[in-house]
Amino acid sequence: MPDLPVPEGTPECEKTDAADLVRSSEAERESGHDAWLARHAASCPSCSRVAQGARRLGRELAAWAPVEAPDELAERTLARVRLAGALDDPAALGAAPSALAPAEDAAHRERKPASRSVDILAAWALPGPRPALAAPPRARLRFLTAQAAAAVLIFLLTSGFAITFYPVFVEALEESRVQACQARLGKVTVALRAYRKDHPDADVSELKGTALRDALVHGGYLVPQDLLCPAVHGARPGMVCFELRVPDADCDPQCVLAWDRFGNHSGGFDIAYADGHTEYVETRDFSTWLARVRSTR
Amino acid sequence: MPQSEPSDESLLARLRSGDDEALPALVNRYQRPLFGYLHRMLGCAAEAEDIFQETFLRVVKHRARFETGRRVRPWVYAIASNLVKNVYRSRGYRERTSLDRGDQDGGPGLRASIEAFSLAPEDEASNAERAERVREAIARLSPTSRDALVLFYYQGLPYEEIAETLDVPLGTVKSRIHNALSKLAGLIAEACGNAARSEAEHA
Repeated sequence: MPDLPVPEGTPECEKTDAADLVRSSEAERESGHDAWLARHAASCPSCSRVAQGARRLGRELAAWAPVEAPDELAERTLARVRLAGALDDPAALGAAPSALAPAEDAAHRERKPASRSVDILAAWALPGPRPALAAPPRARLRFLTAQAAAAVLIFLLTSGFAITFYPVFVEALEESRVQACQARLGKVTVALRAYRKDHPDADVSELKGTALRDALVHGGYLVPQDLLCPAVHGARPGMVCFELRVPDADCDPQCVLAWDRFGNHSGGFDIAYADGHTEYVETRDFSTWLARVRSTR
Repeated sequence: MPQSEPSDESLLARLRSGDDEALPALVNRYQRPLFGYLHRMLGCAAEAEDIFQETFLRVVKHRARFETGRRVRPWVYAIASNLVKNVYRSRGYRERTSLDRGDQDGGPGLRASIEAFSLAPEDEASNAERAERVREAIARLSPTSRDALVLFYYQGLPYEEIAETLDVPLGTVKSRIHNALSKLAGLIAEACGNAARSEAEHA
């Protein structure tokens, strides 16, 4: 019988479903609707031709026989499903868990369960289509987790390195600034002694700050750069970063002639003596240093 | 199917409830028909096997989504059909809508084509030659018509299951099948005529 219901009152010829006739078998033609058609076609040339043409078309189509499925198609399919982890418990597949050839399957079951990578390699070693290369969701999650863990580890290592070595870097930078500052202070003390030598009777009680700066610079004893402390950010020529004192003619060699203004360096300041040597005194040791200097006078 | 064998629906229900023993039975049952369908659609045994495996991988992955009360066969074929479409897309096939007049009523057209086919000369072609010209003729159909025809004639699915598989209305299925058969009749008749003329020339 045709799949679709035939409405009542349909003309006899239109009851014939040619498509169904194409695929109906000999047995079907001798029973049911086709038997009716056979009776109708005896008196209807059109339907007779349709029936004949449909049978012939069916014979033509039937000539295209199906290709037999490979013998191990089911086994390989079950293996792929298991490899993909689609089943919660792969061991429950029982009779056909393996992608190996049947002869090796028993030996495989006796061995301990192979690692996933070995199963994949075994599936690839078999003839036939390769398993899908796309990783199952769990493998992708593991890969992403590993990537995230690696990124965190790299961040921690970099941070640890920075935290460990930053103070060392800062200390080294400050040390270089102290050395540069001491070099300038040494020049300044030489300039101050030279000024006194050139002006042995000058009254220097009012010669301070910018007045002293101008006297030293215009007199050619210093350049403006020499009066700047390297540790002071934004210091520009013309500024004076040090405290200066013109020595007496018979100045004691241990007399302090120039020193950093408080705050030039963090934690201490440079001091230059009349004999040209310089010293870095930490702020916490200032009282001790002051007491020492006073005791030598 | 013998009455002692469980139905597809009962096998899938067992698979959904965690009975993995149901899967081999299901795969074995569909091995021949589904592989045959895929081979006819794709023309390559290796691709057909790959899609066969992928189909059952998806059946297992999505078994929880299968609605109770539905038929399993159209669902399995629907998965396979969609995978075949993906293969066509990867091959760069673009549907030529002018050839796929799925909405037209193919009744009178099919009758006329079949009647004309009945009058076409027959030739003495061997089975292999018949198979080859049928294969070539079906390959000239659009993918949607080919799909409907293969499901109808070679897989023997009823109209309703084909509609469920392809997710189109019943009328569209009927139109596609009728149009496909009508075109096939013309193509095969043309091939028969060419073969008959060629035999006459060489005689």
